[in-house]
Amino acid sequence: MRILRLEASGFSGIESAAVELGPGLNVLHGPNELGKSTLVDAVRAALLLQHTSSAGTDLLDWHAALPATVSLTFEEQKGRVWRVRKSFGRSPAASLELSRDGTTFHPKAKGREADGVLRGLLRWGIREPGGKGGGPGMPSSLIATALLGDQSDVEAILRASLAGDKDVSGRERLTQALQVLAEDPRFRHVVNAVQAKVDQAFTPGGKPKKGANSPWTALAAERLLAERERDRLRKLADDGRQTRGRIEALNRQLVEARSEARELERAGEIAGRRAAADKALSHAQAELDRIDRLLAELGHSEAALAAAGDLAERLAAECSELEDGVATLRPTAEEARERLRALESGSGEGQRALRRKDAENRKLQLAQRLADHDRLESTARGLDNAVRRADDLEAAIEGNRVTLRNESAALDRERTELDALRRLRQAARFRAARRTQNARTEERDDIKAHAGRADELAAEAAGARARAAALDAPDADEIMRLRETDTARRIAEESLDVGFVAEVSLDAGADAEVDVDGTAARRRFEAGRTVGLEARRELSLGIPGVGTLRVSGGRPDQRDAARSARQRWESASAPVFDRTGCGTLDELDDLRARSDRILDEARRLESAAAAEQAAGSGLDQAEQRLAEAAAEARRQHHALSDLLAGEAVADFLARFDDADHGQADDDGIAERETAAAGRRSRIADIEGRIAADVPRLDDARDHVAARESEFAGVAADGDWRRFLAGAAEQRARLEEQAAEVEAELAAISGEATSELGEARQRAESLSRQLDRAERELSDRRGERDEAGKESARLDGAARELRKQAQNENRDEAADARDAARATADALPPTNGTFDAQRLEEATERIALLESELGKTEGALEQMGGRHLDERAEQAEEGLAALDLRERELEIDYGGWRLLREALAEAEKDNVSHLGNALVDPVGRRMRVLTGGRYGDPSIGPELDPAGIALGGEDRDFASLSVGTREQIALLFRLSIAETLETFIFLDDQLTQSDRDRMAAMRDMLAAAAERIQVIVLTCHPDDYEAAEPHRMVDLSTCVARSLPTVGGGT
Amino acid sequence: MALILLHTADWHLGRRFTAFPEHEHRLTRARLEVVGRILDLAESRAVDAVLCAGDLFDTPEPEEQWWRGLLQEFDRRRSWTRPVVLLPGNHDALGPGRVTVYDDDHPFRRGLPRHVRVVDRAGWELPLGDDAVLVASPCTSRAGQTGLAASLPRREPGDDRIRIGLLHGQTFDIETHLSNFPVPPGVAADLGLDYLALGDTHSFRDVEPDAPAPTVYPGAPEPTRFGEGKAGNVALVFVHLDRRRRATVLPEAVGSWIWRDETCRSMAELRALRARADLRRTVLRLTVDMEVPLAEYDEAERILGELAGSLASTPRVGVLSLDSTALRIAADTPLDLGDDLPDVLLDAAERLRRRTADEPDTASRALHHLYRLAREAGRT
Repeated sequence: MRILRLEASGFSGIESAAVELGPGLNVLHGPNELGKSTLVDAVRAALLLQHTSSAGTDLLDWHAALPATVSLTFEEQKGRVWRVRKSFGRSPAASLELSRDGTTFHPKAKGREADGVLRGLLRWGIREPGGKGGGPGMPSSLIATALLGDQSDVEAILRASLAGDKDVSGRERLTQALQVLAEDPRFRHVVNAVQAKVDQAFTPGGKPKKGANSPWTALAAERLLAERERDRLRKLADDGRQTRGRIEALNRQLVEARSEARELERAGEIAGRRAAADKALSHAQAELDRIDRLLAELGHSEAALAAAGDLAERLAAECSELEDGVATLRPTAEEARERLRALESGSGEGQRALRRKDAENRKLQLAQRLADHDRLESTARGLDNAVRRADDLEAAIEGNRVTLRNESAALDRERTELDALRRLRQAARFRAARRTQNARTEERDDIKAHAGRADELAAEAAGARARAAALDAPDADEIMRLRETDTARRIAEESLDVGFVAEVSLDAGADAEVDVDGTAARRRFEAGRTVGLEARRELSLGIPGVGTLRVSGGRPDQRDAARSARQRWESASAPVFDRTGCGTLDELDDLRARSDRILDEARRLESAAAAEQAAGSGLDQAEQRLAEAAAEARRQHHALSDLLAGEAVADFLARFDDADHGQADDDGIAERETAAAGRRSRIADIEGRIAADVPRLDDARDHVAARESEFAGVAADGDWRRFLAGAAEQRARLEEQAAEVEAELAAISGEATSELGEARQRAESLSRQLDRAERELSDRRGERDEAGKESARLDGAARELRKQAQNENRDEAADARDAARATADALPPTNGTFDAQRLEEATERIALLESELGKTEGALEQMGGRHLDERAEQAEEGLAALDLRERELEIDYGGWRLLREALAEAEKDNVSHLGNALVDPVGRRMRVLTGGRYGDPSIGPELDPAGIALGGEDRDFASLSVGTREQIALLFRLSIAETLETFIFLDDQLTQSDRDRMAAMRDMLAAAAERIQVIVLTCHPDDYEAAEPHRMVDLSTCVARSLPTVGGGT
Repeated sequence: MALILLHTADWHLGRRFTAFPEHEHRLTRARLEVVGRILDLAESRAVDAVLCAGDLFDTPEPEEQWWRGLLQEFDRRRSWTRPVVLLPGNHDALGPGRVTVYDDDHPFRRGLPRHVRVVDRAGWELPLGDDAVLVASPCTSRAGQTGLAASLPRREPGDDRIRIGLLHGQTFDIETHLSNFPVPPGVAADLGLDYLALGDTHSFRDVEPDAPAPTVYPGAPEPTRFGEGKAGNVALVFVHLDRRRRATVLPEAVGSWIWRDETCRSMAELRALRARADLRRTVLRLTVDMEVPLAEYDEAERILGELAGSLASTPRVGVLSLDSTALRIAADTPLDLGDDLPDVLLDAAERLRRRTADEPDTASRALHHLYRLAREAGRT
């Protein structure tokens, strides 16, 4: 987009103005107060300000009667020229017209619609008129700030951000433009290829495609057929398996049924025999059991009788022993009771009371002395602790002072080493910069060498072309025409080839010249001898002195035609052969080939020259890079010189290679700096601790002195240390004395109680023993009488049982039982009782199963049995192969789809950071402008500039000079304008730039103006005189002020 | 002196190989081609008879091209006098209510030379000269629970001729498990046979190596599936005329295809496979199960492409069934895509590399697509 014409009237002090603008660099100049900035205001109003805005009244010229009007004509693209007209004030109006030729305009919109269409056209991030949040005054956006920056705030762009736009149109337009700027063609190639693959297999909605060209379709059709066949065979195979299973089941049932029937029959056979044997066994066993019970009863009765006799004897003996014991105990108990009565009437208790009183008094005295001793010991121990604490504190202070000295010394060493490392690092940077400079020099020299070589090759190519021209070889068409002529001649001559024989017979011998079909020879003819001369086309016989005979083949017309053809050939070929020196068509071909080879060589040389020319291009850029590298090397040299503090850089570098570079890198130095900072922190910490501990030590010493004085006041020996040394021994002595008094008191109490208690205890014990013995004697006598009665009863019962047992024979009964059991055991086992009905049912079931088995086997034979299994397995294998192909297809196209997703995500993340795309154009120019001193700017994702690299560090804009900020702002704005391929207004920029930078900026603007329209408003036109090409517009010739100028800024 | 027999079975002419649709014709054709080699072998070894023990066709009524092809093979040897005995098996069984190539009025049967005989009834007998006799019984259904051996006549007392049995059926017999046409153990001795020629099992097998009379499956002359380890043979049988020694049975290779089932788990194995010289006549079921770096993934794809061939290149493997779904790019693979690629492509590659942990198959393939496209983009 570019501005073609601006007109304004009644506009903030301008009575009228009409400015024509051209493409490229337009320098609008004029003195201060002429209204240059007002012209930019007019452009802003025309493009951005809604005609009904209250801010429009600020634009009115209060000295003019007419409203403020502005008309701006601009070219959106070739063949689309727009003109916007606006009036502000009492009767606001707006119109927008479109023209194809820039001359004839057609209305497109009016009023608010005109504003809306205009904003849609610009897409600068300005909200549609009438929308919420627009706010009063001149609308603003990042693009508006960039393209129509205000003279009073040239750094505004450095504070701008897309985040501040009221509308997304600006962001969208910039994103679109920057994306195109940043996109690598290889990325687009990959994206297109991937999308094509995805489109083969998936719909836009992500579903698998179904059309004939879809990769899934053929596979799905195959699968459908294969599945149908598989299902059919599987069903048949299942049926077969079921039938086989049925046969197996029937076989099993048949085996079971036959087995059951056999069992039942056998069971019926032996059931009768087993019943009889069981009955005999039962009877014999019952008889044997009866005899065994009788014998057991007799045994029990005999045992009970013997036990009753033993009990009666034992009880009689026990009664006798008890009677002897009672007789012995009775006199002893009486004696003990007598002694107790004597002791209870005795005296001497009074003496024991006096001794007890004396002992208790001594005990109290000793307790008091112990308490006094403990108090003094406690005081002395407190003093001891206080002295130890003070000593510890003093030692700690001394230790910290030693550490402080060591740390300080270490810090000094580290500072020295750090300085050395910084010098080494700087030396390395300088060397690197110098290497870069050398590389750039080589690059420049290389380009020059290529350019020279290109000239040489071009000269060689020209020589080759000249040699080829000198050969003057006929071209291929000409040779082709000659060949056609030659062929026509040969065909015509071939028609004369009729073949004939001439028989020659001479009367006299002669030598003759014979020419047969062009081959001449001399030949002797003998007299009278006939010689046949055979020819194809022509024969000539010349006999000297006789004459010549010439015979030709063919008809006359054929001979004429051959002659004509020969003449055409000769007339066509002769000039060519004469010109080239060739004699045959093959020689002409060789000549042509030689000429072609020379031309090929010329073309090869020209191609090589072009390649060398390409390699030799870009000398200016290489020189520029070399200048930047040299500037960087100088800067690094200066920095190194500063660090060396007087030492010559050359001397240092001479030692440089021998130095230890181990940690002379950024990381190593940062590590050292961190270590030094840590050490400084530790030193400060130690100093703090010492300062805090010294007053605490003084306090501790004062406290000890006070407590010592206090101890001396209460202790007999004022020396607390001596007291403390003997304190334990003294206390032990006191405790020993107290223990002795305590033992004396206990002995007095014991004397009073032991003798009387012992006598009473003995008397009571003997009385109890006597009572117990008498009761036990009485019990034993009763038991002895009962036992005698029971023994007599048992004796009678035993005699009766002995009489019954004598009539029985147990051995015979046992033999009878064993015989019956052997008979039963000899019979075969049976499972349960015999069931005749079950046998009949089993027989019927066998018949049924055999019939069913026969039918089922027949059915299986018809179906095919295992043959079907094999075919079903084949079908499964086919399907498995299809599965595999399908899986492979899924993975392959899934891979394409996943790749597309990954590309989309990566693309989104990469382009969402719009700032990255502008870093290079701004940074590149900034490096040129500052001789490489400044690096890349930091531009945020919302195009919000944050700072710039200076000397390897990121600098905030605020820390830069005003001039540098202005320059960065201008470059940033210029880059945005270039990105959008549109115009830019620069109103009195670069006022703070020095001469060199001004010149560099001018050159950059001129270079940018080759692609976009740059409109500079300045009162120093000479600053731009050197820019080529440019368009100078003297505003004093096209702007009329409505008020006289009175000084101040415009 | 010995009676020399060529014993073959299970040709399965007309069998389909639907798992290899692109190469099916080569495998089906091979089944007919091997018959020619078998008959040539019979001639070169001067055998006294050729015994074909069933399943010669895959179905009872195969398409004409198969029986016509077989007829042509016999026609080429129309001057033969040595008998060729065709026994219907369960695949090409005789049977009531079913049309078969062995029916008297079938063009195949009618076109057979005189020396080619069809066993068309139980207890069928054919004297093999004065000193030997062949007894055989055909399958008359596709499945049968009753052994056919019972239908063979036993050796009569005083009959000292060599006695050869010819049957189709299965020799394994587990109680309550139904074999198809079961052949019980020791049946050759029970029937007084000197050799029992069987068909059905596709691998060569001497069923009872210690029995005095061999019971032998020659196996299919061309394998029909993977896992048929000893397929590809016929049996050459030398029955000594004095009958005092066990007949000698030698397998003779006639098959042209080898069926292999292999898995490659490393690039070294894959490279070694590519270098093998015997792949042209191999049906290879190849599973590739390995995790490789990106660059080797590319090489692996290239090798697999060489093995499989394309419209423009001859495959190194005769018939390939490839499962490369488990060929994956290692999650920690270095992304060696070239230093000058735009960041956005490197970014996409890194995203895919991270996803190989969760979606190894698809992400690996996507990464490889990108790798190839990036190289292609670098060249253009």
